[in-house]
Amino acid sequence: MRRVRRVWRVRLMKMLGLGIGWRPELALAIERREGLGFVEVTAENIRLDDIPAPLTQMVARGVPVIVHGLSLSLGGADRPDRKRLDHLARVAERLGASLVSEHLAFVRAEGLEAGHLLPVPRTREALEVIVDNVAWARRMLPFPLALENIATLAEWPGAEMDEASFLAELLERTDTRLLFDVSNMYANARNSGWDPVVALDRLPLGRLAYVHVAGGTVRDDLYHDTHAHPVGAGPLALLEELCSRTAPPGVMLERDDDFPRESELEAELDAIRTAIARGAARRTGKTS
Amino acid sequence: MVIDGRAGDFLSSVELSPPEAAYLAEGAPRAIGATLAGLAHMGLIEFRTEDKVVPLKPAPAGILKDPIQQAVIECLSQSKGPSSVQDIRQYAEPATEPVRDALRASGLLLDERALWTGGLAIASAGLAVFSGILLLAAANGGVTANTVFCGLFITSIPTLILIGRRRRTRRGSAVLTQLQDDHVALKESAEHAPVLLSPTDLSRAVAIYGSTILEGGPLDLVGKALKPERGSCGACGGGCGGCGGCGGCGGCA
Repeated sequence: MRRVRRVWRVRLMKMLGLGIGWRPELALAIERREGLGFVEVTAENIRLDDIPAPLTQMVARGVPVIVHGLSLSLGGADRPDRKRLDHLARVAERLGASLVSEHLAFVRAEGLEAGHLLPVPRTREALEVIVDNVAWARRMLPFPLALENIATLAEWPGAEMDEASFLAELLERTDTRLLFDVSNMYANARNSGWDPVVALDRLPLGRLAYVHVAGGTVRDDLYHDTHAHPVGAGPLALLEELCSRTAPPGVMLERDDDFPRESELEAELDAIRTAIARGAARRTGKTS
Repeated sequence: MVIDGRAGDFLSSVELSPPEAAYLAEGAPRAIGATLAGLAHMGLIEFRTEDKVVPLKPAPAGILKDPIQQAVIECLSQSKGPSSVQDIRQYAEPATEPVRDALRASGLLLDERALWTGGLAIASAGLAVFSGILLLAAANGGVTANTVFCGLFITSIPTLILIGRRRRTRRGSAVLTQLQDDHVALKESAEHAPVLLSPTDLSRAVAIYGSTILEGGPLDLVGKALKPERGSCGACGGGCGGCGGCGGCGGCA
């Protein structure tokens, strides 16, 4: 089993690189970006009977695809919905994905949809429920699963663990991968007043599958991870810190609104590449 | 225009400009439509309601090198008020002739002779079918006015449609299909976020896929204004010089 995991990881590291979340608005810019390592596709935005032609062409050209879910609600009290799991798996199958990912969050309770990714209580009791949900989802999914840390402006009272430790234990107990969102961690750390660099050391970086980076903005002294602004200095610095500790198999830009022109998108991807290179240079003891 | 003429591999080396791709797809109306979309995206002209177009600002010197662009701007600068898309198409159509000639020379569009001989062949086939209908009717009790009318209706409409649609060579049709397959990402972006595209990309998208890809989006007004009119030269797509079946659009002089 350990050998299989290692083989999978080596394969993933070879496959990924710098990527981007595929959106129809960015289809042309993505097509033209040279050396793009992979794309991530949101499962909820894909209809199996109408997969966008640019995506199928990318798959045919051998561009690796990761399928990302938004609505499994793995952090909820209820078991994840079978139909949503099935859709995630079928999209991944159709796009030849090597990995699927979801958020450590809940989005519904007793049939009510929140419309947002909501934080889970970081208690032992909640952890047991989520471990059970994730293990069940893993059994249903014929693909490796990665879990993502979310950004939140609210916290449940009575937390028994910090975010990194909670995530580390969950991933270890369910044998899942880590989708580390540097911007989400930057947002939480900035808004709650803790040091994200210290938190990096508690993350299970050996389980790292890939990394999300996105832009945000400050409103009323709170940082909002909007995915609609250019990536700022804070998330890029945290990405550099991460890359000074480990070589992420893949790093990707998420942009979901207020889409930029091609040249601006190129500049953002280049900035991410530079941060990765700087971190790698620090890790290997070279100057950039 | 970059077209490798060797058999077998020409599809891999096709690179047509937006006016060329547009003319190949739907003739002069689309070539002018794609140009209008590009000029609007450059901020030089603006589409208003009821298919009217107005100039916004003079083009910087030397920026408009394409003769169709120049003809459109010339048309608008000569007009005292807003111009209709139809008027602009009529004015700028002669500027598309070099594009048509280049496509014919490359073997992507049928030349005049092929259009006439092909048209005659189709018309002869239509006439033969019509005669067959009349003979069949005569053998079954006599030819009535109704039979003649129905026979004419059944044979003339497909014949005219076939004649009107015959513009591209097989190779031209294959090149167009290849262009449509190669630019699906452009289509996707043009449908969802046309304002993010460069004027050339927007023009190319309209050229290859038609103005309908802009409908329902932020450039909906442009998409609707550029729709080809049924029964006009736009419908047959060959321009007045060679389509043979539209009877002239009345505005090419």
